[in-house]
Amino acid sequence: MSLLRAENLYKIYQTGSEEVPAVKGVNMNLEIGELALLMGPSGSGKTTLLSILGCILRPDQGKLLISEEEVDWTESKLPALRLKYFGFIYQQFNLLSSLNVRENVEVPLMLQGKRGGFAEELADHALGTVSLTHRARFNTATLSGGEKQRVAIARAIVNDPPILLADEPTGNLDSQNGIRVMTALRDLAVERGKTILVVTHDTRYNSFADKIYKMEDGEVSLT
Amino acid sequence: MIRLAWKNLVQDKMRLVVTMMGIVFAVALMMVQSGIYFGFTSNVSGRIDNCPADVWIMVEGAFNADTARPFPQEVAHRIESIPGIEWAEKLTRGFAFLRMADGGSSWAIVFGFDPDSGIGGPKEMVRGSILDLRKPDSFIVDESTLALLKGASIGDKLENFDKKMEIVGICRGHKSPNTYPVLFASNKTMQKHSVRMDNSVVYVVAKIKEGVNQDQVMERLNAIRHFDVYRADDFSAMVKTYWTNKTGVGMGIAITMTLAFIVGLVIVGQTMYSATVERLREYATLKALGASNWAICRAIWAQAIIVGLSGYFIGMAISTTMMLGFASKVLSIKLTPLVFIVVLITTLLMCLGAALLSIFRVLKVDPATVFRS
Repeated sequence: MSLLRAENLYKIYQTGSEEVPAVKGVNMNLEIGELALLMGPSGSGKTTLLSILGCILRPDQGKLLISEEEVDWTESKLPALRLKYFGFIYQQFNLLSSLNVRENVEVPLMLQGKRGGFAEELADHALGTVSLTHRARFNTATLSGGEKQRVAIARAIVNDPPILLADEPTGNLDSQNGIRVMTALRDLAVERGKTILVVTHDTRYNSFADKIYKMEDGEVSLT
Repeated sequence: MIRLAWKNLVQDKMRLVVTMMGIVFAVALMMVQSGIYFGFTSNVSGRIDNCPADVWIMVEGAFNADTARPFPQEVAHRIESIPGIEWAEKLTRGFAFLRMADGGSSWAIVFGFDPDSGIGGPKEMVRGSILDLRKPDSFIVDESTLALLKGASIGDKLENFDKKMEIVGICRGHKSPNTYPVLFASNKTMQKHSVRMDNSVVYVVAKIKEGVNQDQVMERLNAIRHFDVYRADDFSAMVKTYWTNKTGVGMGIAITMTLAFIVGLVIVGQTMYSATVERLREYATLKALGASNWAICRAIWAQAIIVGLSGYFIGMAISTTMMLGFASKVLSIKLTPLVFIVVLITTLLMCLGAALLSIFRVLKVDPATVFRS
């Protein structure tokens, strides 16, 4: 069953008097429990497409459907939509420096108004999924790159969103940690039915994917 | 979001200290200036505020308590006989020119009243009794101005226009708004020692009977030609306004308080803004995760309120200790609950205002920037 579907998406940037199309007529379909890779060279429009698919950036044309329901791009409705449906994992981890590991994981819960013991329990459970319960009280600055990315994964899944969007999640990691992160994502798709889209350059992770999209000059094709 | 606001604040302790110092400085300055201002205005209207009368009557044209002219005391009897008046008392006011034992001299403000009623007399006696003023040619001096009389004490006789006057008591609560000593004497002594005060008074104060229509009584009093009649509160306010506006005290204090507000605003605004700019990526992350603009605004407001309240309480504690500790010995200071409330509100407005710049910056942050490395 389709969970995230893009129909004929366009996004054009204005650079001075010149129009630069970043996304051109993209069609994609991600099923429940599916892990897909989005590959392509730098400047091909992957980040722009990921921003649109994550309801962060409004497309100039086309439709985005979540659970067959078209996204309403009204600005005030988007934060709640993101919080409900998406978990984000970034290349730079983007953890909040003033919060410890558990508090970082609790952020989406805090935004949903969940706090106290219940939020801590959910955060510890998410940390358990990425085998980091023992680091719950650590300052994030003391963690290795691989650990930081696993904290980011825990944060992405703590409020149980159906879709995870990962932008180069292994980009700052060595190969061993990269494989650990991809394995964790694969497990989330298989065991917990998460729909996951991973942007990556690295063809070594092709074997983790159910399908692979290639993007070039703003156009996407399924390989 | 409160926890995030708190954690963001305490993460950079040096910045927090600088921010707090800005607020503490502004609060302390506002508190001290307010305390001095209210102390000053309470001095100039002290005699009115301490008097139990409802109305003050004086010759028309007086624009403050010092400019009322003497008038024949028989007028007081007319006022006493007006229906609705419970009692009326005669008060005088004038100047003495004192020659001290060491040869020095000083002008002094003298308040005259009837020692038997005590109305219009000192607020609180430290030594001696108000009734000691029954003794001819005697006076009571306020302790705060005792030093101006070069250490004179009870029993000492000072020369006033070549007539001897004896100190019979020391009172408290009537600091001089200028450099003149404040004395209290009986009306009889005043009439005897002051120029052109023979058989005259300066004010008549009166109490309106309970249950009587006050407006009707005021109408009857206002019918007396060539006299002004003020309710006590109105007269007190008029005197305070006169001193505040005409002496430049009000303007001076207003300028200092405005500067304190601006300095606090700039320091807090600058430190909060730089802290926000450093965390823009984190705010973008929060937005991408699903935080609404309102939620992020709340986090920044919370930071402003936390530093504002902390700075207020520290600044309040320091300035209150300073004022009540040693400044009150040389300055007239009055800290009312209103001062604390007004400074608290001003401080919070200052901090919330300072946070506006940060909020405008954060509202513009594009959550899509989190995908860029």
